[in-house]
Amino acid sequence: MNATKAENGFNWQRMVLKLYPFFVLGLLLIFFGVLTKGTLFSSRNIKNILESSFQYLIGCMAALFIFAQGEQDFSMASNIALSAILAAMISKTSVPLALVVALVSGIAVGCACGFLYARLPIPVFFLTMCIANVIAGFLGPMTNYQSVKTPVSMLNLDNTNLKLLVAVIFAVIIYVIYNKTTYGKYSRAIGASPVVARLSGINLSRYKFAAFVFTGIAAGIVAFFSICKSGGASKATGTMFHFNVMVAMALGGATTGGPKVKFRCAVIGPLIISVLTLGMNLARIPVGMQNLMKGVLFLAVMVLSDRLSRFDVD
Amino acid sequence: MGTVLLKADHIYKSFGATKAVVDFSVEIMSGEVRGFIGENGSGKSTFSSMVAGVYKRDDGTMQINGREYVPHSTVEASDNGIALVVQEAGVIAEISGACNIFLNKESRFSGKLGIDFNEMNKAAAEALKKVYSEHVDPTIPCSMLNLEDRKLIEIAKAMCDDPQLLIIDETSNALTTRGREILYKVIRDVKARGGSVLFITHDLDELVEVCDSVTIMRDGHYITTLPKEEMIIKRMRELMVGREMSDNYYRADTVKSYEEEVVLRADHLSAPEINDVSFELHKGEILGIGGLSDCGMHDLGKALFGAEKLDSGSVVLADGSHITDPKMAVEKRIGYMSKNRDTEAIILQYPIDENICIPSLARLVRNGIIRSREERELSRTWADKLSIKLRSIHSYCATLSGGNKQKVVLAKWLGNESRILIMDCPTRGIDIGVKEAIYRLMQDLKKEGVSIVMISEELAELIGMSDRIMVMKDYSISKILDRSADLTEKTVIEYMI
Repeated sequence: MNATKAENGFNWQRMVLKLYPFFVLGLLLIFFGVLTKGTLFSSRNIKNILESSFQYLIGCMAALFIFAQGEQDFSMASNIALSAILAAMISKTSVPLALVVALVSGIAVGCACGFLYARLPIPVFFLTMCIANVIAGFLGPMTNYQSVKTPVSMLNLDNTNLKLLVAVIFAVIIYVIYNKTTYGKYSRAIGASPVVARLSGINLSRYKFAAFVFTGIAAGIVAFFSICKSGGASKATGTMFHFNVMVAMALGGATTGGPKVKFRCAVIGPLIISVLTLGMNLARIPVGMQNLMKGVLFLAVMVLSDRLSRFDVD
Repeated sequence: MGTVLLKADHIYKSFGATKAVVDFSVEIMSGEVRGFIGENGSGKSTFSSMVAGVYKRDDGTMQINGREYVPHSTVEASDNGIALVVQEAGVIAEISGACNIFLNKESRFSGKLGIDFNEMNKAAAEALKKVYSEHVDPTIPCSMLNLEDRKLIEIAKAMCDDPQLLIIDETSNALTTRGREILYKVIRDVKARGGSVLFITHDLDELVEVCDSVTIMRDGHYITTLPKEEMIIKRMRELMVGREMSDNYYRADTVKSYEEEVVLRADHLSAPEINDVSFELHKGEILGIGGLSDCGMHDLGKALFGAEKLDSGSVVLADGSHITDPKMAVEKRIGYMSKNRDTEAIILQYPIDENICIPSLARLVRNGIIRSREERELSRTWADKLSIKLRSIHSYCATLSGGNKQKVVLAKWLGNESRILIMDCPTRGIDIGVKEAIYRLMQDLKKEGVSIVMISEELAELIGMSDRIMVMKDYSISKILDRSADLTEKTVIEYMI
């Protein structure tokens, strides 16, 4: 009798739905591993995967709080461009100071967004888009529409081990804050129901503000390593960053706000994108076909996510 | 009564490990008004949802008028003449009543230039007239209507195609006396033209008045079906809960009893729907607040918790602090149980344990980190103490029945060691077993010195539980009545209207 099926304890469907981003990553690794006859797993390519994941890992982990609150930050790309340009300008004086400037600039923009988000009754989408446009408007004249070069010595900081160390430290800090402090828990509660959250004694303004401070910090870090890698900054630095963070989070399983936004989403999503991109490049798949495959994968994940939302899977 | 309209045979339905409906068989005749009763979580709503095409059954068969019936959607159920009026909000707030009534039936009003909204509005007005609700404007967004008028929109939607079987799932909770009268007239109309009604309610007096027979469910199982002449309230209660119950579950004492100490003072509170309200709440007191639904009592409850912006006045605690927002109220150990449980009191798409712990998290932090063990203990302790029926403490609250959701709300505030509890309609829409448990808990809390403000639309509950009853009328206090053996509903009503 069907009625008794569910009583048998372990439910495969639930487990697959709950962990589907891991399955997607696993399948991609196997698929491209076979297609490239194992080349994907060479130390150089593993390094490439980690290298290309770095900025989105930082961006996704910081954006966890905003995603948990059911919102998104569309100002991240402009924030990265501004922070990168300012850091590049100051890097000629002092490289450590460039890092400080990148962080301060990123946090300042984050604070401005957070303050307006917490105070104004404007949807975040419009608010952060407007801020992104305001910043973009300044960047051209600020740089005379040219890229700002950094000292050659900064290229030495474009080091995979250093990035790995930064990513791990950042991951540990975000993991603890997201899972072990009231910031993470309250953010998820706000995303699930701001009304109940408020009536449970949560100060919405404070946590809405804090969420943008995290993305501001991420913008600063990404901006600094971006100029280390490219040797300069321009108004195009960070283009589409927020969009890629959104896609990575969705591929990682965070398609709605609230309790379903897990820390693992921010780790798995960027890795999926990196493996997919590198795998397709190694398999010499034409660019048009690459876009098609990305589109199909994204669609499949969205369908899975919709199925997931109908289940009581946390 | 005529032929068999709906026949359900050995129906099963499970959600994960929870058996919601087990081997359930029932027959409903055409022209019959069948009541469905049972404790929260007994499977009434699950069964009716299967009939209405919301859920698919796991096993068993259903027949409508002798034909096999396997609805895959509510649209298919509607095509088979089955309409459902749901327990919670069933309209889309952002669109008009007319658009709600004819949702998915817009093609009826197709014109050369798209949908003819004038025609749709006219038809909606007719549909509302048919359910004695001409006073509801079908052209305005439902968000501008009160809860009762939204329910009437839903009833009009269900009735617009003259269903063979009308399922009403705990709808009367959201209706005033006037709304209920309308609902009863609609039920009589369905019956008069040979249709059937499946009527789910926790109000047994209403059930006896409206139904021809009643089917009782317990823990997903069929218990029995009683004909009209055997519908005796005490017997139905006992069949529902599976044990003997006392007739009176309210307080046994008849005089007010609380300590002199004032724990909260409302000082000339004024807001758009509160007019110069002042009173004192004492330690260990149950202060009942009663009145008509729109008398301002619900706004007053929110104001006491700092959730309603005041034009003037203040809420002052014994230590002299003024409550200005919910955060401060929670810090001062005040708990607020909203009457809108699913939208204001608990987060449905959120785990039970996390719902319970939300107000207490700040207390569980050491060096900035939440102590996970204490968090786990807190949620488990209160889930156990209040006997919340759950399949896992990590399940979402949406999986719980109404009474168990209310227990989660209670656990949430008791877990935070609340010393003042503001309970707005604490027993609304919950079964007799949970009701009894809540009344018992209130008496225990009173003994422990917890002060309770109980806002209620049920006079029996107000009289049965309160030390004092503050009656409100037109946003002001019209009278404060002391607990007494002589206090009657009539006396309270006199000051309400």
